[in-house]
Order: sequence, then C-alpha cells, then structure tokens
Amino acid sequence: MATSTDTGPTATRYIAEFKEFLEETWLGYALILPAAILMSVIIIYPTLRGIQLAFFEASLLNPEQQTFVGLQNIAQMIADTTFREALWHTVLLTSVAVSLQYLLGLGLALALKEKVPGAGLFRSLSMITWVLPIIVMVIVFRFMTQSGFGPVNIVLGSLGMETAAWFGRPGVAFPLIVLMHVWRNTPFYAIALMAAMRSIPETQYEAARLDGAGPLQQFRYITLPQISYVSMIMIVLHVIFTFNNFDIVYLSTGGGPLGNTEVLATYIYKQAFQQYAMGYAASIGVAMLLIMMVFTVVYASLEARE
Amino acid sequence: MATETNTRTAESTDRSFADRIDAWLAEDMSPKRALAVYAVIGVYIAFLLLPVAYMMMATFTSPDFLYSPRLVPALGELTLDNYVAVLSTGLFQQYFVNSAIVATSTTLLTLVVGTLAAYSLSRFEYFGRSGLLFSFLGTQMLPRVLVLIPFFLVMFTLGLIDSLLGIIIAHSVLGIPLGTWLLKGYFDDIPRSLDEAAKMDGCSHLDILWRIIVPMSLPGITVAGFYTFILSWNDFLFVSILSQTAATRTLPFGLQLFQSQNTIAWELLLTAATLTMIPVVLLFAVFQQWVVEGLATGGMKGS
Amino acid sequence: MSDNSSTSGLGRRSLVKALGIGATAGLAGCAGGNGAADQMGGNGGSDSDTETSGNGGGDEPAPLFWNYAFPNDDTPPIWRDEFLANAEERLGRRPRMGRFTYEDLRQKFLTGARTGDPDAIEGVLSHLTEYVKAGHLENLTDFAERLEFFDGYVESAVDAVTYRGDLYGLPYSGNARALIFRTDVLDELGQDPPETAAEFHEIGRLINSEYDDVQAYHNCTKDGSVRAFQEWMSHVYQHTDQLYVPDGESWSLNIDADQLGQVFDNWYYQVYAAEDPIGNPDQLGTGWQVNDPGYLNGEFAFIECGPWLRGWTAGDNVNDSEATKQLLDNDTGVAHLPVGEGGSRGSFLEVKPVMVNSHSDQKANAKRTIAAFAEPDTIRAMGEDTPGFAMTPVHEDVESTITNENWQPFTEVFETGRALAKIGWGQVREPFYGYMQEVAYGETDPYEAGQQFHDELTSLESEL
Repeated sequence: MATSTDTGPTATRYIAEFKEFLEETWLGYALILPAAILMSVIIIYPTLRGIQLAFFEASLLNPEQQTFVGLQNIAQMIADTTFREALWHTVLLTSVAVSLQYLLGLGLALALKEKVPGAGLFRSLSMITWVLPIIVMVIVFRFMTQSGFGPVNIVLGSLGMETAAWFGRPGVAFPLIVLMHVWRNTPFYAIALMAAMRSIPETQYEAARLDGAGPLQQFRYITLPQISYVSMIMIVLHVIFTFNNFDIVYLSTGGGPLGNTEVLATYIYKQAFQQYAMGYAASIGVAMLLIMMVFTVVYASLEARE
Repeated sequence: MATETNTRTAESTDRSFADRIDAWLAEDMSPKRALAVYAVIGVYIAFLLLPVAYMMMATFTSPDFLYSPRLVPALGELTLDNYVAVLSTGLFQQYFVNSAIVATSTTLLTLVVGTLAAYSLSRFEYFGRSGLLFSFLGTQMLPRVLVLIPFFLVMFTLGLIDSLLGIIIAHSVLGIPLGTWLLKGYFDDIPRSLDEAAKMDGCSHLDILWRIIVPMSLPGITVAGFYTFILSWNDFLFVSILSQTAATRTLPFGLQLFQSQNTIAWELLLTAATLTMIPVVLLFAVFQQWVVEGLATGGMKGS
Repeated sequence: MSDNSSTSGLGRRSLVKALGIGATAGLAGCAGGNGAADQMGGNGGSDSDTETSGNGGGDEPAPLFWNYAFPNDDTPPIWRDEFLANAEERLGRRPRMGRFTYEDLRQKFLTGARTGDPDAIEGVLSHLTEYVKAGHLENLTDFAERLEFFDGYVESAVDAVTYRGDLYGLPYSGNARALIFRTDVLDELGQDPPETAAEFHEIGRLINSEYDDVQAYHNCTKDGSVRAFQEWMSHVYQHTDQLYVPDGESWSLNIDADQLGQVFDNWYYQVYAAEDPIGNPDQLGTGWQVNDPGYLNGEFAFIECGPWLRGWTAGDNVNDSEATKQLLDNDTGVAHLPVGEGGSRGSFLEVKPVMVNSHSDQKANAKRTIAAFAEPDTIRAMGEDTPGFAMTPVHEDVESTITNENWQPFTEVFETGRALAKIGWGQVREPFYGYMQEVAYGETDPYEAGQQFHDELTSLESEL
C-alpha cells in the first residue's frame, strides 16, 4: 500500500485508493500492450481466421470463394481413414518420442550434474543437437543412411548385413523419425532437469543417507518430487512440439513410404497445398488444437493436484 | 625385508596417486564414481555427437573421398577448400549477416516486450490477465501450416513482406509467449516486499522494474534470450514465407545455395551446415552458466 | 533511490526502449533494402542472383522475376548474362531476380501472387496449369502475336502453354523422356534395344543374371517426387493422348482401368515386387538423386531420362568424371520408351514456360522481361551454357546442341511427347503416389490398384 494520508477524511482516502487502483490497472494494461498488439495482429488474428476456415469449403486456388458448410468438414474427417492413420502415427510418435526423451534426458541429467572436471564442456557439447537447424539434422541423417556412400550402409555392408536406403523402408522409416526427435531434444530435457536437480539442497540427501536410504530411494523420494514441476513443463512443451511438428517428417520422408510416417501436420499440408482443400485442412488443424488444449489442461491439473 | 619395503613403497605410491586424484575431484566424488559418470556421459555424447562429428569431419575432405565407400580419411586428404569456397560465396556472407541482424534484433525486441508484459502479468491485477497469458501460449498449439496464408496477408497489408523488419517481428511473435511465461515465473519469485520497500522510497513501477526486478532475474532473462535467439537463427518457415529476394534471406536458406535442379554439392552443403551451427553452439558455451542457473533457480514456476 | 524519479524514470525507460526499437528498425530497414543489395551488386560470380535496378528512371522498382533454372555452379554464367543483357535492351534496366526451388516457387506464388509480386515467374508446366486455374496468369495471346520471334516456336511447345485457345506462357525449353541405355551392355549380350515392355522385362532379367555390378533398371518411387510422377505420365501417354479431356465445362477421364493396371504392372510391379525383379527392391523410395547419378556411375543399364543427362560429366555426385564422360560419349544410346501392350509411342513432354503475374502492377515490363528470357538469343546462350537444356529446342531458330549421333533419337522422341492437360494436377498426384507405392512395395496387385485408381480418377472429374 502506498503511503496514504491517513489523517484525511474517508472520502478523500477512497478517492485516493480508487485513483491508485485506476492507475495500477491502466499501467498494467499499458505494459502488456506492446506484446498484446504484436501477438494479436501478427498471430492471433491469423490463427482465428485459420480456425474459422474449418467451417467453410475453400480452394487454395480461389481462396476468396468460401462456401459455408458448417460441420461437414468434421464429419468428413471422422470418416477419413487416412486421417485416422495419421492421427495414430502422430499419437504414437509423440508418446514414444517424449517418453524416450524424458528417460534419456533424466539419465544424462544425473550424469551431467556431477562435479567432474570438464562437466561444463560436456554440457555445452551435449546441446549441439538441440541448436542444430532442423534442415541440417535431416540432411545429416539422410546422408548417413543413403544407399551407396552413406556411412551407416558402409558399416552394415562391412558387417555383412543388408543395406538399403533406410528412409524408404516401411518398417524402418518411422523409428528413424522417432530417433531424430529423440536425438534432437534429449539435451534440452537434460539441461533443464539437471538445473532443477542442482537446486535441491545437499542437506536433504545427507539427512536421507543418515537415515539409511540407498541411492535409489534417495532418487525416488527426494529428487523426483522436486523436479516434478520442471518435468511437467518439459513434457507439456515437447508433447505440443512433437504433436504439431511438420518439418522433421516432411523434409525426411514426405510422409511416406506407403504413408507409414504420415502425421497430422504433413496431412494438413498435403490437403492444403496439393489437394487445394483449405477448409478441410483447417478442420484437421482445429482438431489438433483441441487435442492439445485438452491434454495440457488435464496434465497440468493432474500435476497440480499431487 | 626387501619385499616388505617394496610393498610399502608400492602401497604408498598407489595411495598418493589415488590421493592426488581424490584431491583433484570434488568433495563427495570418488575416482570410481567419476569414472562411472564419465562412462555414462561418454555413451551419451557418442550417441548424440557421432553424426555431427562425422558431418564435420566430412567437411574437411574432398568430394572424391565423400563419395567413395570409405569411412575415415587419411590425414593427407584433409583440406580447407570447402570452407574457403563457402565463406567466399557472396550470398552466404549476406545470409550470415542477415541472420545475425535478425536474431539479435529479435532477441532484443522479445526481451523488451516480454519483460514489460511479464511484469504486468506478475505485479498487476486486471481483467483478462490469465486470458491473455493463455491465449499467448495457445498460439503455440496450432500447427503453423494453417496460419501461413492469413499470416502472409496480414504481413502484406502491413507492408512487411520482404523486409528484415518483417522477419524480426514475426520471430518475436514466436518467442514472446514462452519468453513472457518464463519471465513471469521469475518475477513471481521475487518477493513483493522488495517492491513495497522500493515504493516507500518513492520509486515508480518502472523504476522497480528496471532497478530491482531485472537485475535479480538476469539468469531468467538469459534463458529467454537464448531460447529466442536460437528460435530466430534456425527458423526457415517464416523466412521462406516473407522473403521474396535473396537480400532478405537468412542462413537456413544458405543450404539451398549448394543445391540446384540436378545436383547436391554434399561437401559444400555440409560445410554450410556446420557454419550455420557453430555460432549458436559458441553462444551457448558462453552463456551456459547463466542458462543453467536460470533454468535451476525456480525459473520455470510459471502461471 | 529516493529521488522523485517517477516522471524521469518513465521518460528514461521509454526513451531507451524507443531508441532500441528505432535502432533495430533502422538497421533492419537499411540492411533489408538497398544496403544489402548494394553489397551484392559488386559480387559477380555465378551465385549472385540479386540485382538492383538502376533506379535512374522512375521511382518504381524494376520488375521482380523468380526463377530456378540458371545453373548454380562455378561455370561462367553465359546464359544469365545473355538474358540480363537482352532484358536490359527491352526494359532499359535490369530486372530484380529471386531464386527459389520449384516447390517453393509454386507455394509462394499460389499464396502470394495476389500481392503483385513477383511480376514474372519461371516454372514447369504443371505449375502453369495450376496458376491458370487460380487466375494468376496474364493472358499473353495478344502480346505473343506481336513478338517478332513468336512464329518460330515449335507447335507442340505452343500447344502446351495454351489453355482454351489463350496463351499463358512463353516456352523456353522442352524435352521428352526417353529410354537411356548402355550400348556396351546390350552389345555384349547381343541384344537390340527393347521396343515393347515384354522385351524390356526379358532383357532386364537377362542383364541381372549376367552382371553383378550392373542393375538392369531404376526408376523413382519416392513419395512426392515430381520425377516419379513424370515417369508415370510418360507411360500413361503411351496408352492415351491425354489423361483427361475437356467435356463441356468440366473434364472426363480418358483412360481405362486395365491400361492403368498395365502401367503399374510393367513399370512398378515387375520392377520391384515380382519374382526376379528388374530393379533393386533395396532402392525403393528413392528419387532422381539415386536415378541419374546412378546411371552416370555405371550402376544401371536402363533409366528413363531427359536430355539434361548429356552434359553431366562433372559435378558432385559423379564418382569418376573421365569414366562418366566415356560412358556418355560412347556407351550410351537413346531410344523410345518401351511400349505396353496395345499402346503406341508416347512420352511425357516437359515444356518449361515463363509467365506473367496477372496481379502485377507493371505487366508491360513483366512481359518484356519474359520476352527477353524466351527469345532465341537467350535460348542459344542456354544451349551453350547447359547443352542438355537445348537438345530439343522449342524454337526453330535455335540449333539443337546434339552433336553425338547416339543422342539423335531425342529429336524423334520429342515429337511423340505429349504435354499435361490444364487441370489441377495436385489432386491426381496425391493418390498416384499412394497407389504407386502400394504396387511397388508389393502390397497391392497392379491391376487391382489400376481399378481402384481408375475409380478415384473418375470421381475427380467434377472437381477438376
């Protein structure tokens, strides 16, 4: 509370408080105004337009001619087998990739938090895969799995095993995509979890040790609960990111082979830019948005309740 | 007895060696444990960096080696030709400069706007507060492919097509949600009592922000800045939409310089990719401590 | 801290912020505009593709021209320089240029043509059909008739860029796909080049059994590959003149299910999924990156390709330049694509046009720009720079660059080529990749796939 002239009459005090309240609110709005304006104009408005398109039928070639079709796109979506396949792939990819990222990230975090000489260097090195542009990552992986002079095939060949253009193999392409996601994002988990772990005071561990707790129990009862908040953030962020991700799949396999790696994002792209079906593509996008929102709300509230 | 003396000498040598290592390591670290840690780290680093290391090694070789079925080049085959070729490509230099300008400006803009917004969300009460934050975060949830066309039209109406400023603004918009959320978390952690004290001394809100909150949140600001910088540096999609000529392109486009209709110059491509990657790795190395501290000190305690 | 800094604090803070943003904007503004371009102007060399206009004349910027065709290597830019010189003659200054991959060109043009930028654009034929449907192309009929060199264009090339009697682009390059084969391999086996699909399969299997290091055949099966689509269309054109023919206001499918099945069988099933496949199933899902260099490096006995292969001796996926040169000069033959049962000679005709944006605010300049690109002098320079692009020139004033008699047949093949109908091909391409991969990977019987595909193509009739 600001210093008020508490000897003055009540009315003046109320007015002063009211003025202060107004000023506060006004300032509050003013401070957030730049961000709000930028966001609304540049991205929120297009997002709303994108969502709106879900209820229309529009062609990429003639976007102005939009016919209102209500829920027809949604009905079409439910009946669409490719949509269901893409949905399944997306869910599978997201759950497997995020789980692996989390577990591996946890392991790396445990190793990196130790104070061994050179730890700082290792921390920097491990982040390389996360800062690499995606197009570069895809290029590297495609190069390595090329039939002919790709190193993976060179090694396999010398071991007498079969060689192939691995991104073109139905059973192999999907795991490769998962691998790329894990390879790229694990370090981010590791650094964040490691940071969270380091903020847990040593004294807690010492006390536990005195009570006879082994390393596993220490981990389970001290470490895990205190990193749960950061864990949740990491997981939510990456679920959203992986679920919506377009370029990793598109640049490496295009959704093939045989539609094995078709995810919702690539399906939307193809619907919009190959089939010209903008409205339908938008409805799939809205579905994705809803799924993500539900997930976030449910997961966050579960976490909060613990 | 000779053996006894020997044993004693041997023992004392062993012990002093172990002592030395012990002293070198930190307090509760034993050589055995350190070894285990190094082993684990080694496995991870090998998994993560092997492809990158191979890629980087390949950039020092010539095309002849690259297309042959050999794995490791002889020392005599190493060459800097690729780097010379790529770095002297005028357009590549252009893209590099553009990337630097765009990423730096984006980071500045995002931090400034985000700090103000985070302060507002943290210290003020008003209608629509959580709604705003929620909508910011919500923009991250829609697949970007859908936003492309209306976004393009908006940018065109604002006259921001094919300008670095347009790209900067677009990137900032990408970075603001997470940045604001992060910073708000930091600001929330700073006790209000400090605010009160400052107000009693006659400081205005902006003073409080500038003199107290910001200095105390530098780790968090570093994290947000770093994240935004990388976001901008690596972005391809939005640059692709907004750029109409080579003058407004950034590094991720640089890779296309070494591809044409029928050929991919792998050795140049990989070199360009390495050059794209190095600045951000260096940036992380420099700011590493702050970033880690930022992520540690409860920075993620958002909404 | 105890000063009454409220107002000055506000002022200082906003001042800093304003300076920051102002500096950013200024920096960006001058860097994004002429500053950077000036830096570029001084850089000659083959990869500078931005030219500032000499803004001596009016205030308006020079027309913006997007392209991808100019080669991007260390050789002297003969073609580009000739074009710029001709453009300068017609325009009074040089156009601004932007280089994007064909996929990017298409995406950006479809989303942003309405903004008026670019003024002119280069592309492939399937782009032209899409742009026409979207209403983004300027009708060039009148303009073309007044061009002094217009009469010299080859008829099929002009037909390709015409839609319902109106001209929408100027052709500058054309080619048809032929069977490229190893004459030394065939000679050793005492075989003539195959003319029917059955002969082709037989010879292919013979080659595979006789040779360890040479695979009989490869074609593109990567999902989304433009080349794969074009290869398929080559074979479609052996069974019909057009996949869809105009039917009043809409279109009607002009091929039957059995023929579609035949194409799937002869060129995908027998190649990858049948017993004793002619191709190598390990190479499923690959595109031109394996196809063309593979032939150049001696891995394949047969491929389908256009004339651009002729000059591809050096470059980055070629293992041994000398050997490849030998291969192309002496050991390579060109023939019509083998024909399926009941079919006749035909091939995919690619005609690459330059076009004008109908929303452009300087159409006259744009037209002059494309005229400069498509005029015989420029095409001749293209032939000098990249002989492969001018082996079957689209203009009769330009001599074919074929010097080696082994490659002569391309001229004949060019005459059997058919260009794409003016529909939105995206809707045909999408299902094609699906069916093609199913057949190639052995998941579906080729004739069943043919039937299903036929049904799907029929249902598209009303939507095209």
